[in-house]
Amino acid sequence: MADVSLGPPDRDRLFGGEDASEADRGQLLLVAGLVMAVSLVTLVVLLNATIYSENVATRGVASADGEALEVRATAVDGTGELIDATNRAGPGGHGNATETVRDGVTDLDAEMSRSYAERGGVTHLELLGVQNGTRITGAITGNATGDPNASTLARDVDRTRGFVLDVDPGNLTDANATSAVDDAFHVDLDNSTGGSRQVYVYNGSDGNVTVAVGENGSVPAARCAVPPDGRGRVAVDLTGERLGDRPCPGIWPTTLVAPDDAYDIALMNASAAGGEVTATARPVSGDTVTADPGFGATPAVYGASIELRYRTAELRFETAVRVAPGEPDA
Amino acid sequence: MNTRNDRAQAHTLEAFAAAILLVAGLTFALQATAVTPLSASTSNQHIENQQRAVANDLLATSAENGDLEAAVLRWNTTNQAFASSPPEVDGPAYTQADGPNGFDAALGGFGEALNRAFADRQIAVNVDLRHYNTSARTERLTTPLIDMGTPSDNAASATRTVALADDANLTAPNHTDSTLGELSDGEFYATETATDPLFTYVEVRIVVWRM
Repeated sequence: MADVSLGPPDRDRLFGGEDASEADRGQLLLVAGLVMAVSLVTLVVLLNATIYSENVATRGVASADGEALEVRATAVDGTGELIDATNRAGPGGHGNATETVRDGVTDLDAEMSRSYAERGGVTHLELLGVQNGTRITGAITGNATGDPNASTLARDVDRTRGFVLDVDPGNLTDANATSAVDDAFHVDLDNSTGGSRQVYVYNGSDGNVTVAVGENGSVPAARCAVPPDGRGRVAVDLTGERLGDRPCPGIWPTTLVAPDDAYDIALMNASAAGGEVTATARPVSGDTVTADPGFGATPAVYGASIELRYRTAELRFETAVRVAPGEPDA
Repeated sequence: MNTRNDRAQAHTLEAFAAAILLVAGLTFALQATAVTPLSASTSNQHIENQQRAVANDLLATSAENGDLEAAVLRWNTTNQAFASSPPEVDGPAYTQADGPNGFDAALGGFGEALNRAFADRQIAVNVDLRHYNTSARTERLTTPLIDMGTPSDNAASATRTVALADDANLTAPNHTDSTLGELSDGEFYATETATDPLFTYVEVRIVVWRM
């Protein structure tokens, strides 16, 4: 180890004599130590800056994406609620309904423009077109003018959305999967070429409201069940695939999500249930879906196409969306 | 060369090194602060991102299954407050997730989702409802739905807009027969700004931060 001690005062060692190399060594060691210390500190600072820069650089994209999705959700949800509210109000005709939706989309555009301007974004929402259909409502029992146990809810349907059965658990027939075929209330979805599908709703052996799905009149398979819990009504959302307040996947036939040809919807054994039914359907041709006279059928907007543009300093987002709330997922 | 002349060079180097050390020390000292669970840092940023994502997804699922709209409509027109919000609170909002059920009882499905995602994990949450004053939309008003205090510097937020229809029923107990369109001016916290058949648009804004 180098001798860096000063020892007794010695002019030559302290200030350099004829041969000053021994005095220089201590100073050089000090300088070297300082340089190493500075290097380490700089390394730490640089490393920290690099980590931080990388973190910031990889963060921005995700949040910008989220913003565009939020704008899209606002447009789609707002238009969806507008279409449904228009249909619920019972417009006089398809022309009136379209006009209401057009005015509503213009108003939604004003709302969004004002709202996102506060964040430095520019939005533009435009209605490209609407698809006409029919909104059908009615009580589940006693609708048919002909057979009270087999009433047609909608004929020659291309697409269905918002198909909800609000059933009264107290009125449902007790059944199991086997006896359901003959006894239980069910919705018959009859595709002219693809065969028929049945969705049964009954009180299972455990007292739960049970939904089962069958094909061509075969013994159905139970999909889900929910305890009535004293509720007056339990909602069976066929196209939304929910039972009560829980998801119930698989109750809407996948072949009818985007069918090749028209299908009929009928309520069978309706005396084995009580409650209300609501659906919005789009005909395979024309503007109106025919239903048995016992049901209330009003002109409705089935869906709408909107174009949305959103621009900020860092983002440019443009999309055309078809809005049909409550349509089954593909 | 005389070795004595080298000493000046060494002195110069030493001075430079000392200067750099001082500057580096100052820089380091300025960057270094006491690290607490709430102070900004790279790890904290990740947590903010996660919380923002959770808040966004929670709003999306609640809007999808209708819980969000039900919570927004839980207004008691008589008390001019959200149903079951404690009377000792100044303002119409729920203050905290107190009681064994947190927000469940007060806000239904939306409250249950808030409990599971945030309150049970010691994350505070504010929910504000923002709406415009007139159909000309000149001024934006804020009605607090949940107010758990002032957010920290590291709070994350998410928003979702809910459209309310004229025929939407209030969800507060004993008020479920009233629809928004039937209420007289001033009975509901938001005024009618949208064209019929819609009533208004309400922007739900969630702010979350670690307690």
